Amino acid sequence: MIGGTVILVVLLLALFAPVVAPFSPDQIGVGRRLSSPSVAHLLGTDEFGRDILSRVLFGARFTLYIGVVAVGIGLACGVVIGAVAAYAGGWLSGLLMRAVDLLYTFPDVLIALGLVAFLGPNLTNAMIAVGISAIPYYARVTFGVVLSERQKPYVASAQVVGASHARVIVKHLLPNVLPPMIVVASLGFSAAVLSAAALSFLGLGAQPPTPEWGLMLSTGRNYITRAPWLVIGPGIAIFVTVMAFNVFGDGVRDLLDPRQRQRML
Amino acid sequence: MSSSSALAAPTTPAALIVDGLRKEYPRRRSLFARQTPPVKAVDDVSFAIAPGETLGLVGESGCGKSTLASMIMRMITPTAGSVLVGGQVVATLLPREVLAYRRKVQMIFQDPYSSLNPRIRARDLIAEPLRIHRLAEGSAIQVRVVELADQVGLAASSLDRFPHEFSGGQRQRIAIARALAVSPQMLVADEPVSALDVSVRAQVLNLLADLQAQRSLSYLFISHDIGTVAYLSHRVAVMYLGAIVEIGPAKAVLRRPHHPYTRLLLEAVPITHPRQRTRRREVLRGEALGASAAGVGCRFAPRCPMAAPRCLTEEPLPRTLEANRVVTCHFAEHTPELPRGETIT
Repeated sequence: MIGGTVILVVLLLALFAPVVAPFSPDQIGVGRRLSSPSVAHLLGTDEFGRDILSRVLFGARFTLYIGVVAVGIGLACGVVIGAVAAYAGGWLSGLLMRAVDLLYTFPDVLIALGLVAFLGPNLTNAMIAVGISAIPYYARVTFGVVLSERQKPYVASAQVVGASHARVIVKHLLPNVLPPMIVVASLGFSAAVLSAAALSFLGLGAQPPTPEWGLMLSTGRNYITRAPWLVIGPGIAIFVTVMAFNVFGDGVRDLLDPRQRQRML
Repeated sequence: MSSSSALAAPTTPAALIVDGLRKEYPRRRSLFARQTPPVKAVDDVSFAIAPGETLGLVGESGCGKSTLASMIMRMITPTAGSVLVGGQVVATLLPREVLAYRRKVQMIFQDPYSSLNPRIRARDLIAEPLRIHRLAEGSAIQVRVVELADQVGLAASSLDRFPHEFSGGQRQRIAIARALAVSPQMLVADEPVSALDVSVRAQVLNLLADLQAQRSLSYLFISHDIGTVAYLSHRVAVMYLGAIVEIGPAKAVLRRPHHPYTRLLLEAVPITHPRQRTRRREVLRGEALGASAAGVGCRFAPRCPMAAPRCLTEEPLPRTLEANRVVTCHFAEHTPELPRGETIT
């Protein structure tokens, strides 16, 4: 599992950033301004003379944090909405899923943009906005999975031996619904990282001097002709992380069950 | 409901009474189509099952057998009529009474591949009803699980496996152990062997017969295969398009069917003896029309080899022909006998 290995490396680098990083991410003037990559500064320095490698390493913390929180919010709300809609059926199902469909018609980033404009631009709000904008995705996938599971005879069998709704959901449905959701979440993680980076790039997420990758891209683009390494470092970091989660998600999906490909679409 | 008294033939207080049961599904209304009549999945079905008795319910796919079973198991609500167990109407039980009902009546499903949760070990599948109904606590649960497994012929050493690690027959044994865990008085078996290999069918059927002898269980044994039903049943009910067209003692019905549909079902049973295969047999042609088409006349008339003009205009009522035999056909007396050597009992 290449994806899993890369994720592990990113995770370790983020955890041990203070140890691994050669300089403090916020320290101005550790090198000359806008110096190109060298032995002292492997990824060069930015417009304030900060070490880009150090900033990228510390940035991994923010990126993973954003991913976890945003996926957590989206997954928690989406799973509840989707599961309730699928298990209850009837008008409640129609109401919930049409609301979700409505939300689904807007691009994720547009919803997140609107929310951040409303809540105010900072990293926390950006994470919340990205999480909320992903709810329709998780709700629809959960809805489909629960819908197909609940009509299987083992659910009827549980009801016939006297299992309560709570027991059916917790003991029977959840263990069968969660594995495909793990796959969905790991794919959603990369989408969340990208969305958050996009918001930061637009100045609606992390604020300077936070070493967040999207924000670094945004400030670095002013110097793109003179000092391209300002965007290359964080750009590659985003690319590698997103790629790793995508590959990981696909791998887990194949591992669990090839049938689930159809359910997820 | 007029037919309820005629079709019920219990000699002792019945374990289960089905009285004038109906289930209609409304057609989806469309803006442009004219409103169509509802689909009658189960249409005025009545019967009773005595303690320790097996009633075989036969009919082709889509005739309403499973809908009937679902109503007995309280999975769907009848449109009209009632299922009575112990003098109580099943559909209107209070939540706490439902649990008590589940201890009386249990069900075995058709497909043991999908009716057992794939992520739960056999041990816990069998223990689940014990836990839900608090029939055992702590270590007594495991003792009881092993006991139940033993009764259905499962090795105690295999209980930590997951359902997919068992064969089809073994899985159905797990399902049977699960149903027996609450010591029910009645089992509804919806095609319990039709998903199994022919070689293990007999084993599962024998197990069901043995359990009945030991526990004086009542069975509602549902099958599309009249041969399987003949093996286990004391009485047989033949269902066509939601209604019972013939009911009576198994041997009598199978030897001398009175309803032309029953006769055609029996003729469809393959003949094992090669020398008897020479005669050309009558075959059931066409498909059962949508259940809503049965409005005027006999529901079987469109496919009946004996259909007369009267059958298309006048709906036959259930008639008692011999002892405990009720047939819904205008010309039941004229149904030809089965050729010699073709009886399966």
